[in-house]
Amino acid sequence: MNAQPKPPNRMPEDERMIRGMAAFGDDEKFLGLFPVTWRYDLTARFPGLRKVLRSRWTSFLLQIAGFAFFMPALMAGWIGSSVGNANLIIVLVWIFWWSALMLLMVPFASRIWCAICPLPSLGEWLSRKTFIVKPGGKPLTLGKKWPAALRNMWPVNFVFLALALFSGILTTKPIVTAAMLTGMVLVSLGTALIYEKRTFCRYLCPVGGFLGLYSNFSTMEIRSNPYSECRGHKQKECVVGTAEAYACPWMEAPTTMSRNTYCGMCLECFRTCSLDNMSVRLRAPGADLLVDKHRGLDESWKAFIMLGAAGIYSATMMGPWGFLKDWANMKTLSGYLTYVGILGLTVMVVVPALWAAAIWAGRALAGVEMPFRRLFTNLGYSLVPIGLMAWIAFSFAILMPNGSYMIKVISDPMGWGWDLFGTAGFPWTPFGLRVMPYLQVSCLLFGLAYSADVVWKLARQTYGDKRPAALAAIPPVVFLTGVTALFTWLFVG
Amino acid sequence: MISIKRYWLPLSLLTVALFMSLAAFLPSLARADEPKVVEIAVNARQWAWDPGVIVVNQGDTVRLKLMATDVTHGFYLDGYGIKAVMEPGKLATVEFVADKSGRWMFRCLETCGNFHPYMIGWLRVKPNWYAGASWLGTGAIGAGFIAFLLMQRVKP
Repeated sequence: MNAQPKPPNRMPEDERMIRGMAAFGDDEKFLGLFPVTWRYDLTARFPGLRKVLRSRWTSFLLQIAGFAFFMPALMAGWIGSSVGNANLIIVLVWIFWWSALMLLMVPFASRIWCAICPLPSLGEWLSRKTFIVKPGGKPLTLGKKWPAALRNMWPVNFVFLALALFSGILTTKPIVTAAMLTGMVLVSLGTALIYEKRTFCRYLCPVGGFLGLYSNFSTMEIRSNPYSECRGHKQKECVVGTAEAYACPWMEAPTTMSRNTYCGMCLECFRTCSLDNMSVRLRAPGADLLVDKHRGLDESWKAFIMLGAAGIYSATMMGPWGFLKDWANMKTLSGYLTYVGILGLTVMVVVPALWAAAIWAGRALAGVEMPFRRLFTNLGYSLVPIGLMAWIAFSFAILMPNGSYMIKVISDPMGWGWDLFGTAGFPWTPFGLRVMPYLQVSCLLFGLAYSADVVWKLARQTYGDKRPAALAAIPPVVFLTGVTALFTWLFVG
Repeated sequence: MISIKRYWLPLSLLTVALFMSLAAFLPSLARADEPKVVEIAVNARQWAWDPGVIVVNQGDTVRLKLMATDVTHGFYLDGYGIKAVMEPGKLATVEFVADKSGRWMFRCLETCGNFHPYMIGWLRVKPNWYAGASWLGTGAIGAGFIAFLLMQRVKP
């Protein structure tokens, strides 16, 4: 009998096992289109890329580029105009950075932002006592380990939620954004001096939480390739470090790392690996959502928080309800407290409770014994595609009407009447507003289809038998359809 | 020959897309109400419109009497590109034929404070076939998946 030829660029079986994807074979596809196990190794295809990634200068230059934008923006936030759309910090952070993050970086390049982010750089440089080359001697940090009970996404969830409660003023008042960013720099600095490595990024950064979760949907990953090379390699330099490069600052084990969630793309693993066995690969969107390793309630809850926040923000910022804007903008204390209550209840209680009801109904329909918590957590990852697509639809509504403010503020970053590049008089010019509703609904429908497909795959993986899985997946699909209909109403209804 | 079993999902999505196109096309066959002139007074304040939602029929001539009640605001209607500046206490009028159906945002054109970019109202030009088609598409995807899941239940 002739053996079937293996499709090119597919994940080998041993790698599927170690990466928690044993349940899915080469013929498994997302939406019947994107093979789950397909990988395309960019570093093998373009050898020059590996050289660039191995260089310590690459990370340094990315961080410096981040600083080049960050410092003027921070200064504008502290001393510039109090009018948001006339101040560089609001336009750069909440229009451009946010849109770039949601529309480009997260879907196509995972946590590439973490490689550029200037916020933890000062702490990292200080604790390492260097900008580029790894020096000998002890680092300038107590190097404590983060408490075991907090080694999860819960701290990030609560930090994000605390900031989200101030979203009305945070995203519109320059000084509030400046204060938040300054605070994050100081906390990251203090954390770097007390705790080991990138503790701040992994356990405290409010952006890192949703970046990590939504990067599971990204079409790019950093992984060891082939995994078989690492299995026999005892040195594990990526975990312990070398004289020239650091052990994984994100406290991951790059050899067996299976998801993008906690990979900040700092590229140290490329520099430590004596086998040159790390690679940047393209893949189908959402491949990490099927990884049956390290799943947790903390991460599922992040998915609820992000989905609920997308709905509340869309209603507040893109809706016609003036009272909501007044509440978010702290016009009165009672109004603000009402807003806080609604936001908190929605993301922490209402969305999880509705999801729990769907899971409970599915479990009852399936009629097969299955721990509720396991089903609730595992299937919760199916909210990532629809959540990300809702944020992308929201980001279109931020960028397309407001993007032209950038042309104006680049010449007048402080809002003081300067005209550095002759564009200070550029008028507000929205673009593409006629096609925006089509883009938004296309994203939502794609997100619904993808989420429904993921929930089916996750149910199969969890039950190990497609018959009960099919029944268990029905109520979550109803939930996803309802959520999509609600967002559709918010964007075009 | 295309294997339906193998390509069930792309084929389902294609069917949904065709369904949506059909749903989008059908209302155009329906006879619209006789166009009329609709005059509406709209007040603007930091950072809301009153009324926040305006509903008209496609083909209506819409006359908006715009009044700013606190600071200078502006009026911009997405999709139509209509603009007006509204100074406090001075009436500004815009008139247009609502020939594009769907829901469009109107927003403040003049920087009026920190929440200015989100000073938004909605104009619904009925029939909002696009929203209808979008909901139909949403329902079709949901229902299609449930049908698929039920089929898995009975498959050997």
